[in-house]
Amino acid sequence: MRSSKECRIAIVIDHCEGTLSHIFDEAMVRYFSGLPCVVSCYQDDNLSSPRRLEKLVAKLRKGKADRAVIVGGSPKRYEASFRRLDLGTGFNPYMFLVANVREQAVWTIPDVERAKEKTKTIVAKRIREATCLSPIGEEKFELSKNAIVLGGGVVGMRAALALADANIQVTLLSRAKDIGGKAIQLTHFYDRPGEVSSWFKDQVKKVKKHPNIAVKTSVELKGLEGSLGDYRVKVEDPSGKRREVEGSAVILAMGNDVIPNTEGIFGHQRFISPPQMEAMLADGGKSLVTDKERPLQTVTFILDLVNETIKIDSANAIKNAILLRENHDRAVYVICRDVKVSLDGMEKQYRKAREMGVIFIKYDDPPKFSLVNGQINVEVKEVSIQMRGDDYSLSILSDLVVVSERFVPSKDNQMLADVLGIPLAEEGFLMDENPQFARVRTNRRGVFIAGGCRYPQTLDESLVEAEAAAAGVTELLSQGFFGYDLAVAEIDPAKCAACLTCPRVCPHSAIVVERYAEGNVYVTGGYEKDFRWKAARVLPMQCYGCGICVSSCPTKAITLKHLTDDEISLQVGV
Amino acid sequence: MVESFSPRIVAFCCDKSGYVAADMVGKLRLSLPESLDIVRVPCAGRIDALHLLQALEKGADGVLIFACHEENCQSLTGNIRAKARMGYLHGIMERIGLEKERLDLCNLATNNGAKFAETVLQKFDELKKLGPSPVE
Ligand SMILES: Cc1cc2nc3c(=O)[nH]c(=O)nc-3n(C[C@H](O)[C@H](O)[C@H](O)COP(=O)(O)OP(=O)(O)OC[C@H]3O[C@@H](n4cnc5c(N)ncnc54)[C@H](O)[C@@H]3O)c2cc1C
Ligand code: SF4
Ligand code: SF4
Repeated sequence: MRSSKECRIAIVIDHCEGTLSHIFDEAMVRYFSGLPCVVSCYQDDNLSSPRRLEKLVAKLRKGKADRAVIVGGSPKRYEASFRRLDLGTGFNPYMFLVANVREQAVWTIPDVERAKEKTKTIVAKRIREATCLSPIGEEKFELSKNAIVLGGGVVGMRAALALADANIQVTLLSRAKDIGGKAIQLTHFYDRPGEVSSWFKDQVKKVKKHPNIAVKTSVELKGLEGSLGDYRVKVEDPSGKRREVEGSAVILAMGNDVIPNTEGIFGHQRFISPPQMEAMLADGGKSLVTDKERPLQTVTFILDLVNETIKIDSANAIKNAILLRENHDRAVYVICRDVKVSLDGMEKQYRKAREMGVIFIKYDDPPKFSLVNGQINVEVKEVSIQMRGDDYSLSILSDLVVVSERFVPSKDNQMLADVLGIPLAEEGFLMDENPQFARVRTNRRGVFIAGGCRYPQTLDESLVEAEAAAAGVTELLSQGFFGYDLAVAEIDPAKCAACLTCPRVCPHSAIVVERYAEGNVYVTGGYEKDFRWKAARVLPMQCYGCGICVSSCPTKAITLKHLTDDEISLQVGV
Repeated sequence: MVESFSPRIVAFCCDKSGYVAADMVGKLRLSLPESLDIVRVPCAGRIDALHLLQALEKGADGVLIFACHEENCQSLTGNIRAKARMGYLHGIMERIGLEKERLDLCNLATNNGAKFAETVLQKFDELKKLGPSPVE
């Protein structure tokens, strides 16, 4: 903290388009000017406009003040413009403080005189706090325009194409022998009837031909490390040779795994999986009639035994049910807990299916299955048409029963979560940084997630994610550098006891433990002879400035530069 | 005089939820007690047990923490840490003879202006009944 005598504070009154003018009368301005350390006072009508703010900064530079307290509305009103202030203009954005008298006094205290009193207390307090301010600098480092996409399904392919079109060099890594992923099994999409394979082949061709995309297939993921600008993925090829692929950013698109349901009676040949159903329909229905034992007349889809919160099975069943009615004239039942129609155009498809005679049956208790003369008897208690407590048990003799495969997180999710510090959602899927504000972005800067590894969704939704993730990477890399201000946490290695608390609590994996030598010199590499002790260090480009580490450190070795303990202490006082 | 006692409340507000909600109170033109002091923090996890104690020591009759809903913290666990710290402090307060009610936490979202005002006013009434903080 500087001695308050050295500080020269400018008061800047923002009338907020005239709404606060009745508060800022002459007496009030006189009061502000008389506060300690205040050397000048400016007034403006609307400082939220970036142009006005720029003009103010120009004035401040000419004047004597070295810091400013803006008296007006919420800090949120000014912050967007602050961030855009060029740090080169000489007035550091962290030398501003905002006294939010509009929201905290004028608007919430109806009595004008009392509101004025509160205004005075708020401003006086902010002035005291302003004496603690110190400028915070900015740093930047170069980012080369390359990225890694992990997973060669449709999502990975779409992301790679979008990046490549934005002139970013992409390495597309995939475990399978060829790119394509699960969508290869699909013959058509619910909202895009007709041939899908031509569209699909076209995508594959584009990816393989694009000059900015290098495809590497049959590789096994062995590790991932680094940070924004310098991620390194370790992979192993079938011959056991390991190599490292580098990229400034990473998109994880490994899809999800599926576990077929083959336990007990589900192992019987009349139980099939949705991809098998797709395959049967793909050959124009030939396999539907060439069954030797008996023609396949009745097809029953069983939903929601697994994947209850996932929409794919509903969409898939409705789409195939329509085909079976429309082209092959089969009796079709869809047995489910809920029909999930929250997809673009799905309501229409559902109505169409009903109009064509597909019968939907809802259950609470899972249906029972038994073998009757080579057919499957599906016994189910219908719940939506129950009348007077009657028991509507139905028996559906089916020739084919389509049961869903269970969608589970890819087994690599846990490993990636561990090495990157990305949290896993309950079921084990990779989690967004924030489900509302920041989807597809992870808490690790430069790592994005899309498709089935994030959550199993239909193709359309997954493709939107792919594009969003690619847009996120493009935004990060487009300027060729990453600039960040140093309004972050900082650790004093001399005070740090290397207790490892902070690396564990940091939600953004921004803290590493390093070796330090005498005189707080940070030592890289092996155990040099002048190595003295270990201490934690914040990686400023990874840090989001949340301050969680600061309050967790037992030795108070960590400072949050833009909100120090001193500043908080001054605010809690009277 | 007891009648004119107006409890002083310090409200620590997470920048991602509580602070925005507090701003909304103003936009809705709801009233807040004049004796409320709002302290803005980047995340509820930034609030040190020390800050909470300091507030009580420096004359607050009650301290409120406004944090994001659980499972919805932008820093993943900031709100849970704040809750844990509050629990820790409740223990200390009990030992030094301070009522637990003087420190409380409220989970809310950015659009919960009304809830913010309600919580503050409720606490205000509760503290009024409780009387001034015995801390000298
Ligand atoms: C039975 C079923 C029916 C469906 N029906 C429909 C439908 O009717 N309509 C619709 O719109 N959508 C449907 N979908 C959804 C659609 O298939 C998916 O949304 C889509 O395939 C997801 O693509 P993806 O790229 O995320 O994953 P995937 O297609 O699974 O691709 C993942 C890729 O990553 C690779 N990979 C995995 N792990 C690694 C690793 N560690 N390292 C390197 N590479 C790795 C894999 O080899 C694969 O190439 C259905 C899905 C299923 C399973
Ligand atoms: S301030 Fe937050 S993001 Fe930064 S190092 Fe500390 S805990 Fe991590
Ligand atoms: S919590 Fe503090 S003492 Fe422990 S490792 Fe981090 S900085 Fe060092």
